This record gives sequence, C-alpha cells and structure tokens, in this order.
Amino acid sequence: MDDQSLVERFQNGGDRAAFEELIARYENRIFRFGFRMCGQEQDAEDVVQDTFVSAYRYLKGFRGDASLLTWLLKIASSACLKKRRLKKNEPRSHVPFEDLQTQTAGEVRIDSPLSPTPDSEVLSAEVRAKFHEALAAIPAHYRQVLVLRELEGMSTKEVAEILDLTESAVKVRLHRARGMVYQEFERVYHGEGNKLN
Amino acid sequence: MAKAISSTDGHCKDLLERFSAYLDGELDQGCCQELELHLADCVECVDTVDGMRRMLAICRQEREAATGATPSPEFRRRLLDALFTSDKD
Repeated sequence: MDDQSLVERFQNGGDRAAFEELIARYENRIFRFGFRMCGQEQDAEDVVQDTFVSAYRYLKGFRGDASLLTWLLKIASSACLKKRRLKKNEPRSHVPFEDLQTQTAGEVRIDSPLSPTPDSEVLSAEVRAKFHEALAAIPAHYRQVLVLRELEGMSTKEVAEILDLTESAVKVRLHRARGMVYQEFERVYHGEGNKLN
Repeated sequence: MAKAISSTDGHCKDLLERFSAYLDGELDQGCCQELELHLADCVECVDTVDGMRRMLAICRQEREAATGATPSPEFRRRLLDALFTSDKD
C-alpha cells in the first residue's frame, strides 16, 4: 500500500494501524536525520518522537502537495532546531556515528567520485568521527542544508520545500556549509598533525 | 555572479564556495575558466580543493554507511505510548 493510501485511511477513519505503518517506514530515516543534526542518539530519538507526535496531530490536514517524507523532515527540522536552542548552554559531547552502526564497523572504503582519477583508500573510524565533529560545529541552519543534501540525498527542490527557502538560497547555503565543514575538519583533524589529502 | 579570485593572506578568497558551485555545475563558462586558470597556477588552492573533494567523498560514504543506524529496540513502544497519550488530550 502506498503512502497516500495509508494517509487517506488515517485521515478518513483515524486508522492507527495505517499510522503505525507510516512510522515503520520512516522512523529510521527521521532518526538518522535527527542524529546527524543533534549528534546524540537520545536527542535523535526525541526528534523522532516529536516528529511523529506532531504528524499524528496534524496529518489530517496534510494535502499531499509534497511527499510525506518531505513533510516529516520539515517537522523534524523544526524539532532539531528547537532541541538545539533548548540545549545551547550545554557542553556538546559528540558520539561518533560509528557507535550506532550495526552493519559497518571500524573502517569503510572510499572512492571519490569527484576526483578526475578516482582513488581508493581506507577511511578510518577516526576520520569519520572527526567529520561528524566538524559537522556538529557549524551553525545549525547551514548544517541542515548539508545534512539534507549530502547525507540524506534530498534534491535542492526538496530541501527548499523542507526549509521554506528558495532553491537559490539552498544552493548558497550548501556551498557555504561545505566550505565551513571542510575548514572545521581541517582545524580538528589537520590541527592534530593529520591531513585529509 | 562570480567575484574575482584574489589572494588575501595566502588564501584565495571565495575559493571554497566557488569550487563547490563549480562541482555542482552552477558556474558559467567564464567563471569556470577563471577558476581552472587559477588552480593551474596556485598550488595552495589545488591542495585545498583536493581536500574538499575528499571531504565530499566522506559525505557520500557516510550517506551509504548510515543504513544500519536505528532507534533503540524499546523506542517504538515509547513512541506509541506517547501517541496514544496525545490522542487522549
């Protein structure tokens, strides 16, 4: 059954089973987004809960102008920013992403599609942890765009819908975010005597 | 759209943002040529853009590696409890 049919079953009869099926389809996706934005597993679960509680309340007004995933990520984006504001005075302790991995541990292989002559090398857990540390260090409204475009694989148009921005604004923020993460990565990684190149 | 690339304290202004746009095919032909000419003559910037390429490759790897990340096993029960509670309000 497609998303729209499940949404209609919920809208027309309050079918909880239909809503639970939507949770099953999207909770992991929202969890990953929440983790990438907040850097903590508990925070990511809170984001998932806030997202689906809001969705449960407001799904009857969902008209299907955008995809359900886009709509859910829009709610999740607000939840992430709200959580960030509530915790702004707390010290940030970042959990390396690989700690959450159940299928990939330690090292992954990397083939750069951007290089004129793609090379392969082992990407260490340390590099991946430093990358997430760098990602967590940039302002949230830039991180949102980079996470949605680069890590969640959403299109520029979808990111614009999720964040209520023009596509041009998404592109500008993405280019700045990439530069910020790169510079931050260099600071936290290269500063310890390592080098990304 | 593009500003001239200029050196400031050994770093080339706007390079990262311009290179990002270049990778996404958003620079016009003139700006592309300007950037390519600059990179042909600036070792420091070549080093920087290579590093950014690697960083974007890390992004791609992280996108693919994330499929195993899931909420804790007991999370679904807590979520459904929260939903039923909100349903009664």
